[in-house]
Amino acid sequence: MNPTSTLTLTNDLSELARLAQWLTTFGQGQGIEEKTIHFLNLALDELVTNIIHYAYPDGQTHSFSLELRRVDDRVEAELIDDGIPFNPLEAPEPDLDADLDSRRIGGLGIHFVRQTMDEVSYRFERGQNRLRLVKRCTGA
Amino acid sequence: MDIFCEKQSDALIFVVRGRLDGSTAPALQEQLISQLDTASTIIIDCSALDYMASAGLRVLLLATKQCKKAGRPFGICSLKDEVLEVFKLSGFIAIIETFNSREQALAKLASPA
Repeated sequence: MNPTSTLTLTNDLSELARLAQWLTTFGQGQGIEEKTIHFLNLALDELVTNIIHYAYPDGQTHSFSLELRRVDDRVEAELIDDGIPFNPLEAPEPDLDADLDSRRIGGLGIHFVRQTMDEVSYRFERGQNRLRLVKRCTGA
Repeated sequence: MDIFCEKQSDALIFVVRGRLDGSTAPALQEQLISQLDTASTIIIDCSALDYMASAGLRVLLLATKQCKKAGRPFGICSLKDEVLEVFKLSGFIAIIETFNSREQALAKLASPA
């Protein structure tokens, strides 16, 4: 079994650049093709941005973690935070056919997660939000 | 992320380089929205843009709406595959005008100098 890599993040938007760098390094180390890492980055970016914006309304600095593991032909990721309980998968789907005037941005991030990942699941356990993603590697 | 502004014909062209995500989108919003009414045509050149998340789309949607309200041509050009993918996933490809090259965008959107 491949070892799990863990990235500890804090609730500051500057962490998004570190997340991207870490994912790139992980992908290169595991020989995962760039397209797969791009989609993982896109999905995690949206979820991490949500956590940074909404999980900790007290305005204090908090840490949360991202675990990543290569298993056979796929990458498994789990985001774990102890912020307010929130299941992002309950967000309504955006109306992708809406015209310009009625088009809204809300829900687009989660839409990306659903579209780009092969499996997405959420559970709240022992005071922690745990969002698990699975992405199959293409061609790697 | 870096932003450079260039004037070409009667168009103001924003060249956005690097990563447009939740941490960098506010800087683009500030620059872009404050300068929208300084030119008769606005073009965003994405030839050096490596990555875009929904926070970046939000700024582009905002700019598109404001330009439409003002009757000002607005378009985006030279999207790399990764960014184009995000445009398709979001359905934005249908509501924001995109062009393969800056020349194409200028030919379609800008008035002859």
